[in-house]
Amino acid sequence: MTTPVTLTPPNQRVRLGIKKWDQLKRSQDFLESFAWGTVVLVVSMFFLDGGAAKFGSLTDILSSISRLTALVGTDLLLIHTLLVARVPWLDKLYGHDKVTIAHKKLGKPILYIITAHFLASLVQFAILDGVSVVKELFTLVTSVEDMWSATLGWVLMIVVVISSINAARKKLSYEAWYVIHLLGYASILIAVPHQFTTGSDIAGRPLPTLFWVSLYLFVAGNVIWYRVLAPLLLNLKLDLRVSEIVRESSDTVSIYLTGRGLERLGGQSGQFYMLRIMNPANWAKPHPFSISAAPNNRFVRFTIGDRGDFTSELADLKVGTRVFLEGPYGVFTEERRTREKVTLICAGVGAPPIRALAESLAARPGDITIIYRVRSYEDAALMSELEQIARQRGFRLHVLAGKRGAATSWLPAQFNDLPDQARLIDMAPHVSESDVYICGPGPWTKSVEKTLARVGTPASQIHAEEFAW
Amino acid sequence: MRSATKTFVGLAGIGVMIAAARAGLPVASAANTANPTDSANSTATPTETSTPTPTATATATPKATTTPTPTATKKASSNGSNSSGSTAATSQTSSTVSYRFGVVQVKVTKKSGKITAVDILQGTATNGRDAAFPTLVQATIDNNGTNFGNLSRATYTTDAFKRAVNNALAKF
Repeated sequence: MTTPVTLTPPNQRVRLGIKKWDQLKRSQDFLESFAWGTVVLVVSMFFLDGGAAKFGSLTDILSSISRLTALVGTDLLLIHTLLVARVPWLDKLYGHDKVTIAHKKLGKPILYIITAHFLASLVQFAILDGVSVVKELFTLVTSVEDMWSATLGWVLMIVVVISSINAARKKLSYEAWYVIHLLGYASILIAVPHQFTTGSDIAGRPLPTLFWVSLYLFVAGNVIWYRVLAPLLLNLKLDLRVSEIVRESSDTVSIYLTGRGLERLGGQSGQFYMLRIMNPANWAKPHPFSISAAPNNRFVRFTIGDRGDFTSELADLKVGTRVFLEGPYGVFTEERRTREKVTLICAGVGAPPIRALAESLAARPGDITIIYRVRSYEDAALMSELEQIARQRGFRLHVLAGKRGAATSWLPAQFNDLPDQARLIDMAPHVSESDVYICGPGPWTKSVEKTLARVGTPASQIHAEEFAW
Repeated sequence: MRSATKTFVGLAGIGVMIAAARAGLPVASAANTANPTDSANSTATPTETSTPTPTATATATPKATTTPTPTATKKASSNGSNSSGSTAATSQTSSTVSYRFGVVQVKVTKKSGKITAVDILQGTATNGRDAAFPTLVQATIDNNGTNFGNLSRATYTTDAFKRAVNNALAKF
């Protein structure tokens, strides 16, 4: 372990300055405005059609509710689907974690809106036909074309949402949840026809039809390409194989992958990939892991902590096992850097992306401070590599080893005689004017962020990646 | 989204929707005056069909936009002498239109160029779709023609009904 590793040369150039942050925020605002603009557009199309006049009688009100909820619900549903397509232009702006959180947030409201559409149409038709709601439902499903599939689509949607509620997620295995979640696509697909054959706002109207068809095709194209075809084609070309497995500490191993033309994989330090071990037991279970060495043409390396049945299996992988990677994802990268000084803070299994960033960040000696929180110095993964990088590049490295301190502190017990912020300024005097990259367990990260707020580091300079699935 | 952008986009969005709602309303009521011209285009003998008297136009939409009114008055003045005979109610029967859920045949009655009644001579539609006919008749009289939207869940019935009415209108 003491033999020095060959480091990839760091980035030579980096754009800094608050303008970079402003541009990012502007792009985000533009995209979000555009997304909400589609909602405004579909509602406006309804109103332009004289929708405001259709609130006279009860059936008119129900019909208007049914049409509006259908339009808004479908629009949001398509946005919701686009958010999981792992589209690079969304990932670059928000990061995989934020996009996934937005997707999760939209799920339930969409179900409520679509349910309102279902109920409003049902009751409206029941009143018009003068029959009971149950009888009307039977008539609709059995005799109106495309209505049985639309109703089934709604039922599937309920199943998908229920399976994704936190309580259910805990009970379900990942595979079961995943298969149920795939029904979401089925639910959308089988509900599409009724919009075009009987939808009052679409059927037989060229402009709305054009709008909806292009929206559907755009989302479908992004899902099929970025979620399925692009990763598949890339992996077939790369043909990645496990080339070496190295134990880094008592509970971490590094997995080295090699393949043809690794430069095609792209990626930056701090990013992560969805890793699929292509053996019968694991090919359907992708897991997110950050690269622990800067991207290079020799190998791809993941350093993985033993945190569950899957991660402990990894240590026993055979050399030559095929691996698929989907990615790279995430914005825990130099792309987000705006200042000359950088503070890298990690704890335990959070070390890999910090190790890669330390290798890649453009810097002069003294620009970068690394803080590494571990239980024991002797049993810390990547420690010798971080020491080597710090030595070669002239960075400060603080290793904080020891037992957990006070509940609110992110520092070991022996440092708790002073407030965390005093210790932080002592270790990283430039912290308030530097970019800070934090990677560690959730509550620990939150605690670091609190300390950063106290020492006055602006939120725009704090970068932490949340794993939210 | 930054809060300033959120406020701006929110207000702009609400503004656009309100504007759309307002723009949608006059179009619907202007259909009363605009429609005779529409059906005139589709009929074989336009001179006979569209004869809105100036008073009718005035009462229908006092605040009618400038475009429909000149057309209407022009028509009225050019047809004034021709249409004196059509103040009495006349009616025409459509051919039978069959579609996937049944058949529709209507008798349209007009007086002074306005549709005053639509009688369903034959109107069958499976599974309760015939409940749509009264609504469709009323919509035809209200709009003085078939320039109105589909009745949801009765798209095909609406379509067949409109074809029947247009067929009858063409015979005037």
